[in-house]
Amino acid sequence: MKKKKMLSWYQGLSIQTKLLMTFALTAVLMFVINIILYSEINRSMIQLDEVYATNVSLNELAECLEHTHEEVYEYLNTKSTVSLENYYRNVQELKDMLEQLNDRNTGSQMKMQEKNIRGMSETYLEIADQTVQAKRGRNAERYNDYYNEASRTYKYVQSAIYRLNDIQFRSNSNNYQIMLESLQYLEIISSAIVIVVAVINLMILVLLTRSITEPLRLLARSANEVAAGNFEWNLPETESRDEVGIVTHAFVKMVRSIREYIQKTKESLEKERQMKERELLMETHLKDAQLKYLQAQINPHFLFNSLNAGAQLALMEDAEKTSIFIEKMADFFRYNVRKTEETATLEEELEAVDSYVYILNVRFAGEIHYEKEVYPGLENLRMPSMILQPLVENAVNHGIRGVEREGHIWLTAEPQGETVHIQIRDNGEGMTKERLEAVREGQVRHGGGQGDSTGIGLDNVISRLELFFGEKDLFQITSPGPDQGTSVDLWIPLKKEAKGI
Amino acid sequence: MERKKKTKRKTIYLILAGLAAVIVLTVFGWRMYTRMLGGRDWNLEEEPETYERYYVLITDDSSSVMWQDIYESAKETAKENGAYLETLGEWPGEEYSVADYIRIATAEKADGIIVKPDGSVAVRSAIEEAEQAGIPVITVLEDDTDSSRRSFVGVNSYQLGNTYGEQILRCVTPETSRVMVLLNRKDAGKDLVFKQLRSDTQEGLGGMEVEITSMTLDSGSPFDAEEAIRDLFHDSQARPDVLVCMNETDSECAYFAMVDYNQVGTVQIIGYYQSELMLNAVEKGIIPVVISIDTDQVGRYAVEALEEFYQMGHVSSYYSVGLNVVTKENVQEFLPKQDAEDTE
Repeated sequence: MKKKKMLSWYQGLSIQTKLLMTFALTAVLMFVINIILYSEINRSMIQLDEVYATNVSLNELAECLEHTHEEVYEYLNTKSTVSLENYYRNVQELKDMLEQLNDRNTGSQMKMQEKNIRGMSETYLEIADQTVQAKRGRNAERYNDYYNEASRTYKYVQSAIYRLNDIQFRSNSNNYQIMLESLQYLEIISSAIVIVVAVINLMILVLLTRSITEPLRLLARSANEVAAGNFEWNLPETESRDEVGIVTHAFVKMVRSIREYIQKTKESLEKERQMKERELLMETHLKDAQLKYLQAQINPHFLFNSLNAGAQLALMEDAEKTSIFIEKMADFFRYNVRKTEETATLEEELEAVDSYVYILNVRFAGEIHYEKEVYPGLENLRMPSMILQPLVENAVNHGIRGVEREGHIWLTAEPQGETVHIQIRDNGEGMTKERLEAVREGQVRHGGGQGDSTGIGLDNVISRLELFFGEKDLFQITSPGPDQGTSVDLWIPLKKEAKGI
Repeated sequence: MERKKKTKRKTIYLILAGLAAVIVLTVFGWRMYTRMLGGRDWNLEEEPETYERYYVLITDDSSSVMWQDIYESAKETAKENGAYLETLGEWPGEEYSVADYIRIATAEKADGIIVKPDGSVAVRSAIEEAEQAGIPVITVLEDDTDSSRRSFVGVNSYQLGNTYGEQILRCVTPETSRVMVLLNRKDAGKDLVFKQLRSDTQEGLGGMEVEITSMTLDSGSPFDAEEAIRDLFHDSQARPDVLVCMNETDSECAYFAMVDYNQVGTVQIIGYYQSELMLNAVEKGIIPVVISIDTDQVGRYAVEALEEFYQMGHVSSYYSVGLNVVTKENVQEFLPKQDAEDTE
């Protein structure tokens, strides 16, 4: 928990603070180590100083002793009060110094020598005192003897001091050697420590700077990738809230919106493409229907002009029925030629069916009983042309033509919800389930290719319907069974009627 | 991302390991450092052991093995009795005599002086001064009966002469015609020893014609003795058949001269003091015999005499010390243990 808090706190810092912290941390580490090492070396130095300090005091002692002896000589020589004063002062000084020397018997050679020097100096002072007293008493012979003795003892003391100095020097040389070794040792140890600390520092630096530069690096890489057009690149993630963190978040946000925008554009392009495709398909189907029709009819214009001429001829000869027949024929073909490229109204479609049934009834002597029932107001319903006639043609050719009984075809059109339901039903041959299935799957082509057909197949009708309205399931063909008739149902969407071509 | 985290964790572990290394290095280094300093002779003893009394051993040749042995033994005994013993002599830069050193010890207010006197008046008066200052003086090896020394520790000249006489007789062969005894001017009892030696030898020789002479080496200047001994070997007329040495230095000089002049087997040296060199020579048969004073006894008795003085207020005036006669037969007993192992 605490660690997380710390991490969060660290991530919230600015780059400058982070860098400063990094350098401060490493500097403090180095500083502490150096302080420790230097204090240790300093301690050794002080120790070394102390070792030599003893020599200094010995030299002072020797000097003081020398002054004292000089003053004794001076006094004996001149009996001056000044030298006597100096003598006493020196004696006091010497005594003070001697106080600091060891006066016990110990196992240390140096301490013993100190004690000996102290003892000898004291002996010297006694003799010197006797010398001075003898001089005062003007006992020339005695003070001479005393002075000689004092001089001898003085020499001994100086020798002893010299010797102690010598011993100390040797010992100190030894100590110095040890000190030197220890310093060298310390040097090695401290070098090792400094190296290790430096390595640690380096690692900390690497770690900290990486935490700063890594997001930047990732960001740069992502930016490069995005710039190269690779929007699918994994976007950098960062938890830090410093400047790089802010830039990274902004960048990620930007790339995400770009991605969304691209996605939307793609989708709309796709839709457009689909629409175009549908248009093309529709056109293809229409062209197909037209071609088939033209193949069958060669030149419909010539045909229905000729038919018109025939109708007028029939009128002139008072053959009214023939005239009507030929006129219907002409109407039917005109509709065919005119309407195949456009949309038609329900009314126009129904007229085409009427003409067709009339023609057939003339051909087959009124065998087809055709009834239609259209809900009023649906006349202007727009739909693709040449839809109902092929279906009626199918009902005739595959339904009622082959049956003995009276053939009926019923056509109804009524609104049903948001659609107009158109049903074409016959009482003809009907279909087995298998055949029905085959028809539904488009394996059996109705209409197309037969000599007695207008040439537009069921699949063509279905395709055009679906393309026109952009919906599926607008068409259904059912049959209760063989010899029980067939029913074809269309559902023309009311709202989408205008969507067509 | 996962990899990055892993490397990060690895780096943190490395840092922790590094810190641990620093701590270990510091602690270990510090311990080594203090141990190194602690293990060395700092000469900075805070509280060295203290002693009640302070004795001084004044030698004329502190570098000789004999004196070193005496010093070791005396120091050991002194320590046992709560006294500190130090040799005094051969101070650097000064040409002090034995008398000077006695005076120095007196000025130092030592609690006892052990000295080998040279029979001079200066030494005698220095001993006098010391005794006047209340410092007991013990003479060792040589005595100065005219001084006011408290006691003497050593071999008496009669005994020494006897022993030498016995050994000379052992070395004498029918071809032996000359025995030379090297005496030292500094040695106080030299004449007595020689007298005893000669009478004993002559007595033992019966009617044999062997010339027993003495040569007094004057070590007034440092290397005189050595030159005189070499001269003996150099001059075939003067060359003795048996050469008797009365101190360690003469013995070694004679030994090297004999070897250098290729006289091993021709000249028999009776050496003095069981230094390693002499013992090895005896072991190899180059020297037939070495007479040696029991230095351990010398050192011990001298300190014990001082201790006795402090305890009883008086002390017997003579401590007799034994003599060792080292021959090829018993040399192994005297050879240092390590040497004995090596020869095995």
